Amino acid sequence: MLLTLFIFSLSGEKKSNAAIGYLDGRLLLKGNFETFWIVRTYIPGKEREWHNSNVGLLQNTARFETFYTMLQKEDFSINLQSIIRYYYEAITDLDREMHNALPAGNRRQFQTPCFRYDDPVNEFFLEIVKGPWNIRVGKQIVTWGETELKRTTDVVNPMDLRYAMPGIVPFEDIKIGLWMLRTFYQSNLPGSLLFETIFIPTDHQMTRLPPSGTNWGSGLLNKDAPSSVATWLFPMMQDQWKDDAPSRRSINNYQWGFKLRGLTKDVDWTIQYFDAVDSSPVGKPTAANQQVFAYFLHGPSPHIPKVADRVWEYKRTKYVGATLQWPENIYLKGVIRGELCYQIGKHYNTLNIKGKPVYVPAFTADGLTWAGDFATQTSLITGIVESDAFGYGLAIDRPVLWPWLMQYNDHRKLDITFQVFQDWILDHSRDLKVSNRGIGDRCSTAVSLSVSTMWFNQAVNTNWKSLYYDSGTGYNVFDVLYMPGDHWRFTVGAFFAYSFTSWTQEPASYDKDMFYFRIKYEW
Amino acid sequence: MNLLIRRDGYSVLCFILIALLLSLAVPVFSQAPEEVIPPCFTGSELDKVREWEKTWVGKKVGLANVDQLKDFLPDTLFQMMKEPKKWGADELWFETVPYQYCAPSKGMVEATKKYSPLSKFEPNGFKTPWGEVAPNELLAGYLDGKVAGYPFPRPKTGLEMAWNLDANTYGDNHQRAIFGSPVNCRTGAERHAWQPQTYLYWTGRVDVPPTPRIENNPKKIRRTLLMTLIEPPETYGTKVLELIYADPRKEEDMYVWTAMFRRIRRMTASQRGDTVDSADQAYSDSINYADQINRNTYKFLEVRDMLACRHQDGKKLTRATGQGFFNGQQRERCKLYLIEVVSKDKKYVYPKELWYLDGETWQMPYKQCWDRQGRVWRFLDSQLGYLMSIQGNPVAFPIAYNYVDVQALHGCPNNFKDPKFGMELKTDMFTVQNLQRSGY
Repeated sequence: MLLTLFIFSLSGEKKSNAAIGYLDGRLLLKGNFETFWIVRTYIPGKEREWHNSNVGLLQNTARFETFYTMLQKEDFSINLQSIIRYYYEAITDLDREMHNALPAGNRRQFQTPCFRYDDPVNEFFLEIVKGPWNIRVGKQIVTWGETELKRTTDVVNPMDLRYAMPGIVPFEDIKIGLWMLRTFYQSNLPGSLLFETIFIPTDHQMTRLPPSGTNWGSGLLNKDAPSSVATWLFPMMQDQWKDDAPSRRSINNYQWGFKLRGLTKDVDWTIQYFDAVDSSPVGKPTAANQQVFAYFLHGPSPHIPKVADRVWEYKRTKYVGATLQWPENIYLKGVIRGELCYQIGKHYNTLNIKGKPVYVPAFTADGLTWAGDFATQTSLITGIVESDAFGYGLAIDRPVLWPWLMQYNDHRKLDITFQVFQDWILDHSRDLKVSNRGIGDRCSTAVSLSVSTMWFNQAVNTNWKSLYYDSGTGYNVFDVLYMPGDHWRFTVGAFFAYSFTSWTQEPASYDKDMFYFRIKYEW
Repeated sequence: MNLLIRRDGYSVLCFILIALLLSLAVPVFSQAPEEVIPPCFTGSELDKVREWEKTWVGKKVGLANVDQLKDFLPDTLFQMMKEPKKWGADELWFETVPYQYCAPSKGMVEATKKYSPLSKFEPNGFKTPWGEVAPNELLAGYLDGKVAGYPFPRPKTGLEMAWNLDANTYGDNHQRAIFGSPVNCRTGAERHAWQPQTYLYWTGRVDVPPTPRIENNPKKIRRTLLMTLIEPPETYGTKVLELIYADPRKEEDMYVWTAMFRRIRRMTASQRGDTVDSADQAYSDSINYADQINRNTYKFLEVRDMLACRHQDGKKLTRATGQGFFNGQQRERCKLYLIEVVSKDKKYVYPKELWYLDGETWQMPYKQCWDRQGRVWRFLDSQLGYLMSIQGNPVAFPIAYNYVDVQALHGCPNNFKDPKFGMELKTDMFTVQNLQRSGY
């Protein structure tokens, strides 16, 4: 990078506050440096052994964006765009207890972009524009949805949830880029139809979940805590999810989709289809149960040998969806955004909810032997079911010019967004246990409210976001962003999770109240 | 001539008809612009102005001598010049320059000559989402783009003057880049904005073919804007598409392709009164007044002999860091029409505005806005330049403008850099699909 900058420095730069231009403006460089701190307000006593401080995350990031116009003629252009993002998470080194809590391999993967297939290249693609055609080849992030905080139709890129949650950062900052061929064709048909296709020949990425012991992961219990025997179970499973993830070079992982965009009677709409390999796995019932037994036979450790070549499977799901945007200026005086999606052939694990005897066959792995027997644990997997699912998200944006508030905030609007999400698993089995819904629940509902406004001539921006699931859990995010000039950005925020019913407590939320601080230098 | 010889019987008739047509055409081409768009000063009035200029032209007007020109300036501007420290400056000053007639473009003269004699208002009113357009408020032929030029070159009412303001199309197609510096004059803190903009007028066209309208316009669009945000840095790459319709019953459409979120968001028209970014103006304050004329009622107050920028040299505008108002304006004597403007939307951010319209260019050198408590709130000082289009047509255009918030002591001096007028533009540039494609 330094060598590249040196070479370009010879060609003469044009500098603005936002970007540095080279080669007569054909090459633009921009980016930012950022440090992001999370300080937890509460660490349960039973986890204290693994923490020396309340700092949960200390991530330092450098981000470089490049826009290079290689060729520009009348209706023909070739551009190269890239986003390189490198980070170092420091608290897992500085806090020696957190350092010791994470196995060395997991820690390194968490600290820098080296998590198996992680790399600093977020996006890197060549764009060819010729007349109505636009072709993009390379690693890209695609946005297909209309809503925030939850995704219904925006299913192309998997997410990296290790460092932040939606609400604290936008989806686009936690999506994982995929190598793909993406084409657009602008037609002259009624509605100005825009055809878009995506073909991902081999690339597959699994959803990145936070390792246990890190800020957003489940907490590790003190060694003498009653349930500490299970403390490494989840890290073991995460390792195996990675191990069983499809190869990135296999044509069997192909994914493809298309989107049609149009404008009819003042409504912007899209219809879309995507044939995807899931980014989250389901457990093979026999092997997964054996693996859990192997863990308990071995004793608490994150390094348990696999009992089979494949313990987890990544299935294929087809998504048929649609979105709309409609400004309603008479009654609502706002914008209605919506998306809906029908998932064909989604796979779920069924669990031994009722505690019936489930046979766990014999296995031998790395010196561990299980003779085979019946077990009655409710966490045992009893099978894989394939069901269709349907979901929708509806958002209403309503900017309000509220006279009382406008006395104090330079006569600025208050942006209010209300969202509701619902989804149903069709042919639902009562033995399903799916995140954010109760056992046996066919439908789940979530609502969110976002309110934001600016103060002092946009030098200060305040945001409040709240998300609530009908399972009884939810969270609130409030932050204040201070922008004193062209470059520096300071954010102070608070994240508070809550749960009204103990049985729905998500392991990643009950102890996750925190403040966060971000200092960013934009250039 | 062969035609005349062969058809001998018709030759005399043809000759008479051609002569008649020529005689009708001669006044259009020979008529001086001053006869169509009257100058501010003529005859003895002009002589008096020239006499006054002998004292003042070339003089720097600042704190020491602004009192002598108080009557030629809006009260707000005068007060600002008396208290320069409040605006982050040791002194606020301008230069006086001689009055010059702002000849409109040849296309504007021809269109005004052709259409203004026929100008009239629609006799029937109608309801809209924001209120009512009363009978005799909407310019006849405006919805279909059948009119162009200044409809009322010698206006008598505030409404007629407002329609003249709306008739400016700035070369029909134009590009410019806003370089803005919102300044907190109390702290001296600045944020910078850099936003290249491309405008296309679909109706009321006078300079660049097709005139007076683009034929394929089923939505009856009046004007479109495509804007790219380059600064502040976090907005880099964001693009805005705005469509303003001729029909008052139709709210404007605004689409924003946000680089950070990589998706197109539609914005609702209800935020037209919202403040633009960190500037001291509402969305409807762009290009003096960027909304439909029929949204307001207009009351003509008086014609005043004032000083205003009409031939500004952009290089002369200066300011120190932390200064929220330009120095170096070049103001000349001219006649400004003062119009009291009241929005029909009772919830609109400005309950009352005072427009100062220049009777030659029908543009707005000054504007004053009040807040809901009846206090003076925002003030516009626009620096009109006299530029040339690609075709060589003169274009009177604000090469810089300066909104200030006199309550918060916040200013936003903006330059329009590299303005180009009259270039060729394709209409498909102003589509949502283009916005989608041009994003990454």
